Amino acid sequence: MELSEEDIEIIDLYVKDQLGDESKNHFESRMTEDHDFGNSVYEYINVIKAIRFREATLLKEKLTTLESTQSKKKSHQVWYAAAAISLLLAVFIIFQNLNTTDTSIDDLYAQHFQHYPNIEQTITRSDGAVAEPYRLYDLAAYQAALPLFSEETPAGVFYKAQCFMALEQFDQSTKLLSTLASTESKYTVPSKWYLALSLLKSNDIEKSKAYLEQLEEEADYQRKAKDLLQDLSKLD
Amino acid sequence: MYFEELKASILKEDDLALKWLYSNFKLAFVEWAIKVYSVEKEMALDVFQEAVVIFYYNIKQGKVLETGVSVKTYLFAIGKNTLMSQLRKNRLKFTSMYDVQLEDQKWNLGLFEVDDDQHRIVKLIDTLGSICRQLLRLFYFDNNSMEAIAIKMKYKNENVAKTQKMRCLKELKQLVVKRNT
Repeated sequence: MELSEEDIEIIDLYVKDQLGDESKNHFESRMTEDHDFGNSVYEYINVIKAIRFREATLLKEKLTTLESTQSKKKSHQVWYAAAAISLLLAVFIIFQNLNTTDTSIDDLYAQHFQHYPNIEQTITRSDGAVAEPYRLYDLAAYQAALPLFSEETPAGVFYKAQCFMALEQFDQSTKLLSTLASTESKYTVPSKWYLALSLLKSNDIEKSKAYLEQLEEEADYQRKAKDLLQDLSKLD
Repeated sequence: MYFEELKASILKEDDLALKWLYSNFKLAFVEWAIKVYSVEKEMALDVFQEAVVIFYYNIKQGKVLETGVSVKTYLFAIGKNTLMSQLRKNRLKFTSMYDVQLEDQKWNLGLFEVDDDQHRIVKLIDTLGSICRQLLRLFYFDNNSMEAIAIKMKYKNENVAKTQKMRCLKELKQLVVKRNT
C-alpha cells in the first residue's frame, strides 16, 4: 500500500512521540484495523529506525577513533617524555619571539568567545511573539532575530547584544552590554564577560581588562576571566 | 562545562561536547562497570560509547530538559541500563548504584538494537546520494525542523525541504521494495 504524504507526516510525529493522545490512539487503531496500512507503517518505521541506527553507529565510530587516538597517546608516553625535552626547547624559542609576533586580538577573541546559550526559550514557549527571536537565535539566524528582540527586558537586551556580536557590530554590542552590566539582573555578570570581549574587539584593552578583573571575583566566570587576562598579559 | 553549555554545544552539532563527555566520564564509568559487574574492559568501553551516543541523541530529541539530574548521573544511568540489558541476555542479574530505571522506549535505549531487515536497510541508505543522507540525518537523528533544514541546506524555504525529504524517502523505499522482489 502506497502511503500518502499526510500519512508519512503522521508517522514522523508518531516516531518522534509528538502525536497527542487522541491522535495517537486513532493512529494505532487504524494500524490494527487496516492490515495493509499497518504493514506500510511498519515498513516506514523500519526505515526510520535504520536511519537512526546508521547515524548512531557513525557517531560511535567517532568515539572509537577518539579512543584509539587517546590509547596511542598513552602507549607513546615514554617516547613523548624524551620528545618533551626537545619540545621544551622549541617552546622556549617560540616564547622568545612572542613579544614581536603571533597571538593577535582576533585570535584571542576567537579562542574565548562562545555564544551564550538560549536559556529563555522554555519559559517563553507559550508566547509565539516572544519566543520567535529565541527560535531564530537557536538557528543562528542572528540578522533575522536582531530586530525582534525587545529592549524592554534584560533578556531581550542581552540576546540582542549577542546578535550584534555575531554580526561583528561591536560598537552596538558594547553600548547594550554597558547598560546591562551596570543594572541588577541575572544577566549582569554574563554581560560583563561579553562586554570585556566586545571591548577587546574594539581594541579597548584597558577597559576590557577592568571588567575581567571584576569577573575574577565571580565564581562562574573566575576561570575564564583569569585565562583571558593571562593571555592578554602576553600581548603586553 | 555547565549543563546549559553542553546542551547548546550538542544542539549546534559541535563535536566538542561529544569529546568532552567521553573524556570526562570514560575512566570513571569503565572502572565502575568492571568493579561492580566484573565485565571485561572492552565491554565496559563499548557500552560507555553507546551511552554517550544515546545521551547525545536524547538531547537532540529534547528528552533531557526536565530531569533535574546531573550529567554524570544521567549518563551513568543510560550506561547502566544498557549494560544490564546486555548482561540480561547472558541471564545475569545485579543490583548497584545508578538504579534509575529508564523506560527503554522513552529514553531510546534501543537505539543500537536493530534486526536483520533494518541492517539491510542501513546498507541501502549508504547507496543514497549525500544530500539525501544529510537531509534524513538532520530530520530523523538530529531532530531538526523543516525550517531549520531549509536554512542549513540552503533551500529556498521549508516547503522545498519537505518536498526533497519526501523524494529521498521515496527513493529509499523503492530501493527496499527492489531488494525484496
